Amino acid sequence: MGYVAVRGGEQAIANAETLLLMERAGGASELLNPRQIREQLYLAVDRVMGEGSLYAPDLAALAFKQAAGDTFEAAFILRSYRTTLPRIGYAEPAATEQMRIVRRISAAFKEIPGGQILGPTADYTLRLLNFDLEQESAQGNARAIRQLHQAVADLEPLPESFPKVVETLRREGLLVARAAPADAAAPAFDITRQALSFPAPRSAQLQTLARGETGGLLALAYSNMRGYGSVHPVIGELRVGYLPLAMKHPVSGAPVRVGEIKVTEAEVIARLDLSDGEPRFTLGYGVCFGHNETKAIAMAVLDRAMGAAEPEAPSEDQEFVLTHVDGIESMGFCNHYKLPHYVTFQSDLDRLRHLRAASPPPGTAGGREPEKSTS
Amino acid sequence: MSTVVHPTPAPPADWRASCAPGHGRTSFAFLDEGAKREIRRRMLKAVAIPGCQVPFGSREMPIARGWGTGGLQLTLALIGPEDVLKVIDQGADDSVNAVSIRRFVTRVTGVRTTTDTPAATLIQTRHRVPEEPLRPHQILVFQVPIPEPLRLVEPSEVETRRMHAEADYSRMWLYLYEDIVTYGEITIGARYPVLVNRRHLMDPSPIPRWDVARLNRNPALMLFCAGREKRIYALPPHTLVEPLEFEDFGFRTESFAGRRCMHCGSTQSFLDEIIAEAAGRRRYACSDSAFCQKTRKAGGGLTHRPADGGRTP
Amino acid sequence: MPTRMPPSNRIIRDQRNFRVLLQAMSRPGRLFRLEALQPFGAHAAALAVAQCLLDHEVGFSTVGRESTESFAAAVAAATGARKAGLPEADFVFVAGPDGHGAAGAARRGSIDYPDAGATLVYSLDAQAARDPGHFRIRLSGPGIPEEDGIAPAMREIPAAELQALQTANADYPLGIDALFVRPNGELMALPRSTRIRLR
Repeated sequence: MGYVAVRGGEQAIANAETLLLMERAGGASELLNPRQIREQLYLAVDRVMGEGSLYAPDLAALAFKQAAGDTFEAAFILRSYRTTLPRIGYAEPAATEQMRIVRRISAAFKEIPGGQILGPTADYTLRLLNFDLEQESAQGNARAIRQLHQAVADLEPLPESFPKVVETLRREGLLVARAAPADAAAPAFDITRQALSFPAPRSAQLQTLARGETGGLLALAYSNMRGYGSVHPVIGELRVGYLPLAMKHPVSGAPVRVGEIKVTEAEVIARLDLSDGEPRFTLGYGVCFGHNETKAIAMAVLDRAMGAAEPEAPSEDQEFVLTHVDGIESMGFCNHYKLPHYVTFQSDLDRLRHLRAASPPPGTAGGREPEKSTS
Repeated sequence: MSTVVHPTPAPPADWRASCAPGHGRTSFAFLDEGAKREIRRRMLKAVAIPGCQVPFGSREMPIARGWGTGGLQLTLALIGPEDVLKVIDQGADDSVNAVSIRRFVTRVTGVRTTTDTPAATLIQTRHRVPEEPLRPHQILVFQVPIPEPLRLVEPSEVETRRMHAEADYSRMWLYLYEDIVTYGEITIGARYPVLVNRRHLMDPSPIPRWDVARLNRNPALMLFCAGREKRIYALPPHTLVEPLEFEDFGFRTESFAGRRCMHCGSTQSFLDEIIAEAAGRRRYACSDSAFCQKTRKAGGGLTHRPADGGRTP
Repeated sequence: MPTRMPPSNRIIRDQRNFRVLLQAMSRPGRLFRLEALQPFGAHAAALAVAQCLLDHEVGFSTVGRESTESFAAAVAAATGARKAGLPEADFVFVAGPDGHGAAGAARRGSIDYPDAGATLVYSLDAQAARDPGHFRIRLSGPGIPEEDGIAPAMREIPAAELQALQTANADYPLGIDALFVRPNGELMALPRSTRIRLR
C-alpha cells in the first residue's frame, strides 16, 4: 500500500530525518565545520545567498551543510529563515563606482580607465583534474600566497573607486539615455511583499532576476544568445568586489555606512536602438550577491532581452522569464509531483475507462452540436 | 432584530502556558503580523468577489512551494487559540504531507487538532472535500497548485486576466467541445472548471468531479490559496457553483458502480483504487479516512447525502 | 524548527476580529459583533477594524462631519497607515450613515484587478433612528441562502445610501465593499457581490 494508507506517518517522517542525518554525517570522515564551507566552498555559499536572497555568509554555509550540498535546498532553507526576520529599513541607493574591486574586466575595450584587473578567476586555467589537492599542504599554499604578495609588494594599492566603462560611451552619446523611473519618489517595488503583475516595473524585474536560480537564468539567456532572440551582447564591464552600503540615520537622516557586501555586476552593451531618432547602443544590467559571474551576465542579457517591444522568443517575454526563473518555486513545484495524487489519478482513470468502455470509436461523435447549458 | 452569535469555544486551559518563550524566535502562527494583515485584507476581497483570483505577497514557508504553502499561509492568518484544526491530504489525516503540515501548525500555535470532520473549526485540505457535510461555522482551506482554470487553454497571465475581465470563456467552451468531438466525452478528470456566481470561471483545485457538486451552495466558507502562484480566491457560503457542461453532454462524476470500501463497506464515498497483489487484483478503500473509520464504528450505517448531487444515473 | 511564542492580547484580538469580519463578509446583511477598542467612544468599532487590517502598506481616507480629524490621527497612530485622497484610499472611514458621496468617489478597482476596489467603513450613530425606507430593501447573492433575499439587519442605514452602493457596484466585479459598525462593535457587511434591490 502507498504512504497515505499507512498509519503512523509521523514516525515515518521522524525516521526519514534520521536516515537523512545518516547519509550526510554517518560516514567515517571528519564532520564539516560551517567555517570551512564558508571559506573553501565560497562560490557555493555565494550562490546560496543570491538565490536565497539573504546576504548572510555564515548562515548560507550552515544551510549548505544542512542541505548536504544541494544549492536548491540550501537556498530554500535560507529563504524560509528570511521570512521570519523583521524588516528594519531600506538601504540608500548604492553607487557601484564605489565598489572595492577584486576583479574588473571589459570585453569591449582593450584599455579602460583604471585598467583591467583579472583578479581571482579560473577562466584561463586548464581544467585538468588536480590530483595534488588530494594531499593538499597548508604550508605549500601559504608559500604560494607569500610569493604572490612579495612579487606585487611594490605595486600601487588599488584606488578606492573605478569609473564605469559604459560611462565613456554614455558621455559620447552612443548609449541610450537612462530612463527615469516613472515615479522616482515612489519606493521600489518589493517582490517579497507584492505579487507581480505584468508588465512588471523594472525594479521588480531586476529583483526577480537577482534572486533567480543560476541555471534557470543561464538556460533562458543562452537560448537568446544562440539565436532565439537578438541581444548579441558585448560585456562592457564585469566587476566583482565589495560594495559599501549606507542607511539613513534614524535621527539625523544622514547616510551612515553600515557595512559592505560582495557583489558581481555585469553591464552588457547590446543591439542598436532607434527609439530617440538617433542610433544608439542599449544596455543590459545584472547584479547579484557574491561572486557569480555566470549569473550576472545571464541576468544582464535577460534584462536587455525583456526590453524588446514585441517579444518573439521566450527570453524576450517578460512574463515568461520572470515566472520561471525562481529556483525555490520551480524546484518546489517539480518535487510536489512526488506527493500522492491518488485522487486526481483515480479521476483520470475513471475518464479513460469510461472512454474505452463506450462503444463508438474516437472521432465519430462529432456529428452532434453540443449546446451550452450554462452560459 | 436577528442576532448572530459568532462561535467562540473556550481555548484549551493550557494554551498560553504551552506557548512558553525561549523555544525559538518565531511569533504566534509563524507569520509576522504584517504578513497576516496583508493576507487578511486579500481574503476579505476574495470573499467579496467570489471566484475572482486576488494576488497577494506570498511568503516563503518552511515547506516547499507546491506542497501547500498557500493553504498554510491562509491557515496561519486565520488560526487562533480557540480553533480546532484538521489537516487532510487526498482525504486522509495521516498522509505524510498532512502530518507534516499539522505538526508545523500545532508547533507554532499550540491549537488542538482533530480528525473528526464535524469537530473541526478549520480544515486544511489537498484534493478533497470531506465526505461528511460541512457546517456553517466551519472554514475549509484548499491548497491550490494552479489557480488559473484558463491555463489549460492560455499560458499567458496577461491574456487570462483579460479573459476574466471580459468574462470571455469561449476558449474554455471550445476546449470542451473539441474534447467531445475527439473523444466523444469530456476528458477532464480532476480540476474540473466551474462557473461561480454566474460570473467568474474558477479552478476548484484538483478535487475529483465527485466533490464538485458539494461546492455548490455549501453552508461553509471555502478559501483557496496558491502560494507559488500568489493567488487567493474564495467561495462564500451558499454561493452558486456550476460545472461547465453542455445540454447534451452533461457533467458526470466518477463512477464507482458495483464497488464498495474494503474496510467499511461504504458505497457512498469516493474510493481509492488499491492494487492489492502482484497479480494486479484491484481493491477499493475510502479516500476520506476519517469518514471510513466513523462508518466502521457505526457498523456501516453512517448515511449522508449523495456526494454527486444525484447526477450519476 | 521554530516554536511558538505566547501571543499578545493585541494579536489575539486582531485574530478574533478578523474572523468576525470574515464571517460578516461571508454572510452579508447579517449582524456580527467585533471586540471594540476602548475607550474610543463613537469610533471604537471602526478603530478596531483599522487596527485589525491597516498598516503602513495601506492608504486611508476619512469622510463625514464630526471629529474625523482626530479620528484620522488616531488611525494613523494606531496602525502606521498613511492618509490618502478619497479616490486613492484602500480604506475609507465614513462618519455616520450618510456617506456624503463617498460610495460614488471611492476607488472601484480595474477590470484586470477588481480587488483593488476600496473598503468603506461606516461608523453608525448609537442613537440613529430606523430609516423609513428599510422595509423596501432586499439583499440577495452569495452568502445569502434565502431565495427571495433578506432585509439588512441594520435598519438605520438610509435607503439612499444603499442605493449609492448599488450604483457604485453596477459594473460588478468592479466596485466597493462596505462594512457598517456600531459603537458597541456590532457589524454588518455588504460586499459588492450582494445585490441590493428596492421594492
